[in-house]
Amino acid sequence: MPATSVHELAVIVSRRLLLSLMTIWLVATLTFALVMFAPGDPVMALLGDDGDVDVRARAARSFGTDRPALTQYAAWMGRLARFDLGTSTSFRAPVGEVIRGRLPATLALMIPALLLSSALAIAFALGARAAHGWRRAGAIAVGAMLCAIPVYVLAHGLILVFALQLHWLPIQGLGDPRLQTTGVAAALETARYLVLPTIALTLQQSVVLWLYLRARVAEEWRRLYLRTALAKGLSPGQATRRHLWPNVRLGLMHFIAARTGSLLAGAVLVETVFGIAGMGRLIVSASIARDVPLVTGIFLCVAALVVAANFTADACTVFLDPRLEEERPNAA
Amino acid sequence: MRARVVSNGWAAAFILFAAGPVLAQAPQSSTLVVAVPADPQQFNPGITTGANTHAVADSLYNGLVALDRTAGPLPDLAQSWTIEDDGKVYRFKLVKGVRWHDGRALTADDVVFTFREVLLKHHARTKASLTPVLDAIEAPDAETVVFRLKRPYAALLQQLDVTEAPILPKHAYEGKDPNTAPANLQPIGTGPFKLDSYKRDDQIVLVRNADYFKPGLPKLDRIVFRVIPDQRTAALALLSGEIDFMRDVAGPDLVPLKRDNNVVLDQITAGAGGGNCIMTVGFNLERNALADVRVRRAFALAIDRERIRTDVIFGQGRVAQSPISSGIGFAHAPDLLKDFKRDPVAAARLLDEAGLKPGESGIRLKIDMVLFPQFSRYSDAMRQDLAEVGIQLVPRPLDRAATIETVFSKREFDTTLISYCNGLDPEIGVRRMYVASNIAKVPFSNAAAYRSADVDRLFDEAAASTDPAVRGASYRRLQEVLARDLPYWWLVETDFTVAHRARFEGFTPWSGQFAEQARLKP
Repeated sequence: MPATSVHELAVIVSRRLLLSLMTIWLVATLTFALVMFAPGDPVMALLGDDGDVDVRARAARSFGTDRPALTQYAAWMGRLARFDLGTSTSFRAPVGEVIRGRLPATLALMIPALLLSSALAIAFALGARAAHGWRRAGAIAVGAMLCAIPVYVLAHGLILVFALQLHWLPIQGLGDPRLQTTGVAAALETARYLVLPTIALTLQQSVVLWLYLRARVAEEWRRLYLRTALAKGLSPGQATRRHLWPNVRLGLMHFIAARTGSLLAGAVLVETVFGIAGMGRLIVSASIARDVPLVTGIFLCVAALVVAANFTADACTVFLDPRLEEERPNAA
Repeated sequence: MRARVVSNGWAAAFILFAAGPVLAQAPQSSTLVVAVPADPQQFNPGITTGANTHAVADSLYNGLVALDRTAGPLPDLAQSWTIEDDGKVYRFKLVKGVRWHDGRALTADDVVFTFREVLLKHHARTKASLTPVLDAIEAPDAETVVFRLKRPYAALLQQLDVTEAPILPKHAYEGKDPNTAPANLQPIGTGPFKLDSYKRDDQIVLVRNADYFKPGLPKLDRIVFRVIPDQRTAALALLSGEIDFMRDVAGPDLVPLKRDNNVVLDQITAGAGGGNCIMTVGFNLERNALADVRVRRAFALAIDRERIRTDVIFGQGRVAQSPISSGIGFAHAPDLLKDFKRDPVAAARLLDEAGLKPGESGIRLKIDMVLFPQFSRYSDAMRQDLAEVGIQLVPRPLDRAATIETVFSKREFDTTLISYCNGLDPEIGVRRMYVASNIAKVPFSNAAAYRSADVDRLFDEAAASTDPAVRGASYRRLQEVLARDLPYWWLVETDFTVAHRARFEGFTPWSGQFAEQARLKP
């Protein structure tokens, strides 16, 4: 790769990084403003039904929520610059610590769902090309229907079939509270509890990915290069692998990256239905508690996640875009 | 497409399913798994009236008295008591040999400290109800506690149970801010259970207190509280046997639970948020249209309360007969509201008289209703009824914090729907809704901003006596005024349904300490 293009690449990357940071700051500020100006306050949310005036004033002072919004914002930004997300008012613990405690459960749900849904979508979109006429129309109709069913309805449907009728799988949590297992047994146990939530999240995600990819594949098949590939004697499978896949995978990757946010939104609902204490649930309980540091902290993390996913997708483009093949340093 | 995706899931499910039975050793039989809708956040029941904390923490502590199903006082930390000086002095004798979870002995000093430094400063309900009547609390010796009151006060014993007045250890709280003391997360109680572990938003494990002062109790080895925010999921988990006990079963879930022989249902009038609750419409009397009593009367006549009872709460309650709940027998006024049968014609006539003629498209009046989202079935029913008489109801579902601010701080509402829990005595949960002095920026106070000198005076008269007959007469007279003025419209008295697996018995679900006597069926 010539020196100039390395330089150009550095400029592009740093510009993207700066833009990413700006995005995150904007998200943080908007979130702060939204939570701040939403009616209700953390003290009211924390105390019981009959919150007494003195008690509330005392609690407000100890949280610092009696100060003006701008002062609170400035203090928060100052801490943020030192990578300190502040202290959660409802958990009374550092925000970073609270979020770290919740990430594993959510990742254990999101990563398998992401991989499974991508694999399913790819397999069906590339493999089911042969379907025509009413079968194709039927598949699209079913897909669109699945897409339209809210994930919590889907989740309850799965519970009814697999837990209540077949008694195969548990309904809620990440382990049987009556057992006290450890080590491998506990991990297997947790995996068993994760099956239904993962299926629920996977089903919904894979359908969206499949509908997108199916349309893209159909579009590609109408193009001349594939007709040429078939004409020169490749089987449809070979043509798909060699010519079609490299052309659609980039788009798919960006599509998946752009859907990180919606995957998390799905996780919020799935965690609520299955009683899993993950990030999704944390967002809800923090919002209900009007816990400004925690809500902003979470959204900051989510924004960072989405930005990072898109950034990664951009970075991978360099390696996956066939048009950039020759410019790659290790190209033959 | 769908079939193939599902079959993929089946394969994965099967592998893990195959591993399942290997792992499932015989479950610990006397572990009770309880579903709670939200995390308790901390375990000091003395600084909050929040139901989520009390649902768990009340099993760690005791009150001076316990309450039976009809709110009659029973011995708890106090083995006996005497009422002297016409109800102005209450003298409690403590049980001997009660020990805190850390082994120290409980003394009368703990009780006095708890009231002075925690309950009367931080427990919003106890502070509000006892501060005006309490003269002094004293500990003449280590086993005696004396309450001296400024005037006779009949409702005291009902406010000394573990929910209203949990007794905390002085040695863990003295000199510390009770809002942030370490003991809030490492609780030291006298109760039947001790805290074993706490995973926030996930589960709380309590274990049996082997040194509990009541012989032979508790019977359970462990209680595991699972945080399950979705009530439907909790009901399904109860059906499948994953959990053993839940409160507040939703109406639509009653049918499958009733059908299952392994599940026992119990309908009680007290829930985690309070007892004797009436679902109540509050009219903002500061709004012009609603200041006219004819409009409020028309509103009341337009609504079919019987249909709310059958279709919204699925029969879990009664149509309200008077402003004070039928659960407070001596103060209730039976049949006071019996003339308010649904009558759209009369309602329309009243609106005509009030000068609210139907405009274009038949609408006479457009009003909003601020309410919790979980109450939206009520507003759906009312919107249909009110539309018939030309009142357009616009529901504004807001979450808890936003509702409190909109209704009580900013007063930006026409009507609001609130579950006002009357508690065990009108002094606890009724007075706050009606007296002019309680028109304040305090949650769940006098939402209507109702002012009536007569009503205020009758409340004071009722509170000054300890004779239920004298008090009842005053309460009934003030309810007649309320039924005439209609600052609120009382829809239905709502009951709570608790459900548990049939292999357990002995719950006391009307109390915060619901599992002290619970056990496996022999």
